Amino acid sequence: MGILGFIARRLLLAVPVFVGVTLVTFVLMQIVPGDPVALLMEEKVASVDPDAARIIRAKWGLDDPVPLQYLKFLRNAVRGDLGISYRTDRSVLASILERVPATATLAVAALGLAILIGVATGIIAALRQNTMFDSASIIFATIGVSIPNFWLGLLLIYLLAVQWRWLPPSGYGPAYPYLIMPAITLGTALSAVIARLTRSSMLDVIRADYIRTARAKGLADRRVLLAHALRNAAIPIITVIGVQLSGLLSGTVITERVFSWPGIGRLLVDSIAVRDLPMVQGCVLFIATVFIGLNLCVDLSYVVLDPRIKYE
Amino acid sequence: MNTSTWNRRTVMAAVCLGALLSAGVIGSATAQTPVSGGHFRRALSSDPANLDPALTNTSRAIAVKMTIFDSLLRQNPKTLAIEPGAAESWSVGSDGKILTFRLHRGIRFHHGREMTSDDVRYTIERILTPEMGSPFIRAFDRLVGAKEFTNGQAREVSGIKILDRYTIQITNSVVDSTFPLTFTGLFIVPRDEAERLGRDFGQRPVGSGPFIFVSWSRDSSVLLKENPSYWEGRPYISALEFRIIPDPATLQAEFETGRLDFILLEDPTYRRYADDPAWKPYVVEVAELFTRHMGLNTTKPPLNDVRVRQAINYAIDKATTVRTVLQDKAFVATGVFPPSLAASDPTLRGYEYNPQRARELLAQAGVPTGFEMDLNGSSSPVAGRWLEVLQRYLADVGIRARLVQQDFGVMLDRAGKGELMAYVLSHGGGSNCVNYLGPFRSRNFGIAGNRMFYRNERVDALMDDAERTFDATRQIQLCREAERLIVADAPWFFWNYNKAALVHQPNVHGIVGNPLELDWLQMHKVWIQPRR
Repeated sequence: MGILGFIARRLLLAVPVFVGVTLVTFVLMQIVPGDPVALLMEEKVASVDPDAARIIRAKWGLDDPVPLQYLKFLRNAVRGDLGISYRTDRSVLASILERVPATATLAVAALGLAILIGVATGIIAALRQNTMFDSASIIFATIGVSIPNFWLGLLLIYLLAVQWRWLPPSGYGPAYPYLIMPAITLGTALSAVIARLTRSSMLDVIRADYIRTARAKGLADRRVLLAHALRNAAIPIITVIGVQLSGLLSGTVITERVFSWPGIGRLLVDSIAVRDLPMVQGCVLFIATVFIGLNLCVDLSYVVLDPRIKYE
Repeated sequence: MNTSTWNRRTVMAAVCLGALLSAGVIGSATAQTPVSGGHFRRALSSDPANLDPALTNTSRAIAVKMTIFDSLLRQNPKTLAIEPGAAESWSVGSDGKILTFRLHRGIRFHHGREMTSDDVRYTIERILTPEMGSPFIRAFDRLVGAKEFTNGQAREVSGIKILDRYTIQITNSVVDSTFPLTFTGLFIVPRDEAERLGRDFGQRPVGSGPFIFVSWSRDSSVLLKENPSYWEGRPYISALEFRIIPDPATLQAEFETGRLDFILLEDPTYRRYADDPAWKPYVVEVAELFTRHMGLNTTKPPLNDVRVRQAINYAIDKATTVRTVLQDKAFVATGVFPPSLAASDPTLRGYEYNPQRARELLAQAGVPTGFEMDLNGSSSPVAGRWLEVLQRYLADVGIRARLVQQDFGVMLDRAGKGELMAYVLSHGGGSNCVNYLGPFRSRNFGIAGNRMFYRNERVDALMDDAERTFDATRQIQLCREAERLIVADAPWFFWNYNKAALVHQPNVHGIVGNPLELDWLQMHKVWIQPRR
């Protein structure tokens, strides 16, 4: 079976995960107080007409017994129908899919920035251990991890948009100028994590015997570094990047809010606020899919990075 | 353009010019003449979700819909009087049940067809169709024949009669003086387009209003363009963009960099502009039709004793709280009705700050050492500050309030079920005093609005009378009498009336704040002076 069997097994295991997350979400949404119909109706006047509420409940099937509501959702989900949002009266799937580009663009840009800065800083810090650069990289990493996203975002807006007028404060559009500040905001903390991890991982590797052997054989520094050291140091880094990217694709709520970026995170939070169950379920399923998919990719990447690893 | 409209515009332009000259911003007389053209950008705090007039009733969705659609009637933003909209005239029959509307001739929907009585009928029947799941169904469910239509026993609502292409007669089954007001929110949809687009109509709306829908990027922006053949005259601005900006700090940055033409001011930002001489001329304020209050559950001891509820009203220094925690962005409340409402009673004194009197009342009620109660509010930081200041005042008279902040929806739900003792909420009841007093009627217990579970038979009777009379003066008298009884019974701590404020760019003209909701603006009357 080999690697294909491994993939097939992982995909099969995803099925109970999907059922589990939707069931937990459904139960949580039932337990949390707050009637979706009341929340949809009363935003303006804080009062609900019971007759109108009854009709709206019937429209959304909320008058069915609770277990039946879940079973109906499951049945439709299996057919690829995630239902209609209570809030927007639109297809949940379409609403999620139209936000994927914004979320993916932001996540990939932030991740690219984080890898570029993090890996470069980590390698240099490891090669120049206990120098000024190494100390500076530790300070950078500590600050980067500690700064809250919303604060960094607002600071960038204040400086780059309001004071210096270099960039627009917010909005969704071409990568330049709109993507720069959100990507920096989201990528900073991640670049700090990657820098720290790359540094420690590289320090472990460059002291290994095989690196000494490679150098003794007369290989160029650059080749030793990139082909031998970095490749072996990459496994923990890629594991972290995989987990972080899953998070970036699903939980960029604060950055999306600060920069008015129309992504999945905002959609999920807005939907939770009005107990829009179909949309919440759809977003949770999307996030679960991303997690499962990325974790699978990370596991498969180990095979490429380390030929000793084999899946049976 | 009719004469009154022209005069209004001229006066408005002159006022704006005066303000600009006094601020030394411009020195030219050209600002007197409205200028056509320009791309106007305004903000919404979240996506309008759906623009079908039969669906969402959120204030932000209505702010967009009122630029795309025409309502049958309108409310004057200054006087709140009902005025003609798509209907050029309307009348109420002698029995108080029959309303007859005559449409303006020549109103064309954006796809070119003329609006007729049939569209009005279709718009109402669409709302009454159960499959639509319209939150507005209540507004029309007392029409003659509405129940039969909704239950599927009739194909048409018998109480809606088309007299001719432009005249329609609507019969209500009860006498309800607030019924004409319903038509100020009835946005007419074109039958053919609504049927053709089905569920998509809310995503690609077609109306007859001053602006035509162009595009919608979810959670980002809604773009509209001018309707050059609008029946009330071509709008001044050529493009209108609603940008979705959820974060208040970002909103302010967008305004300060000139990328928004106006923003609504919240408590923390209000003073920043209202106190700045450079911006003050461009701050528009109205006493919005919202009453911020602390609802007191009249079934929970000791709040079931009127003296305890009165004590709470005496215990809190409203003027100081408005000045400090609310940054003067509110008016001290004396009763239920805000000053913008015609029924507001200037002679009503309400409760003054008198902690000694509060202690006396608590002693008379048998709780001389005070008592414990939960005080609930939404989870926003602003609500947290409010609760803390109220808690402090209550503690001074011995009432130990336990603060509970929770999700807004959770709080409404629990208050509606009678689980909460006290909760802080803002009540908006529209421009009619009968509707405004809805939460005090015993028929509205629970989620229908009366979360205090307050019952006063005299108030119920007065409201029933007020609902039935079409005599505005008499209705106001009845409402005021009811309000006095309610104030005496104190099912609320009557805190303050919201002062809504916005600030616009110096080159923006024609903004008239709406007390119903500040940013429900008549955008076709707004214009932009090109920047030099």
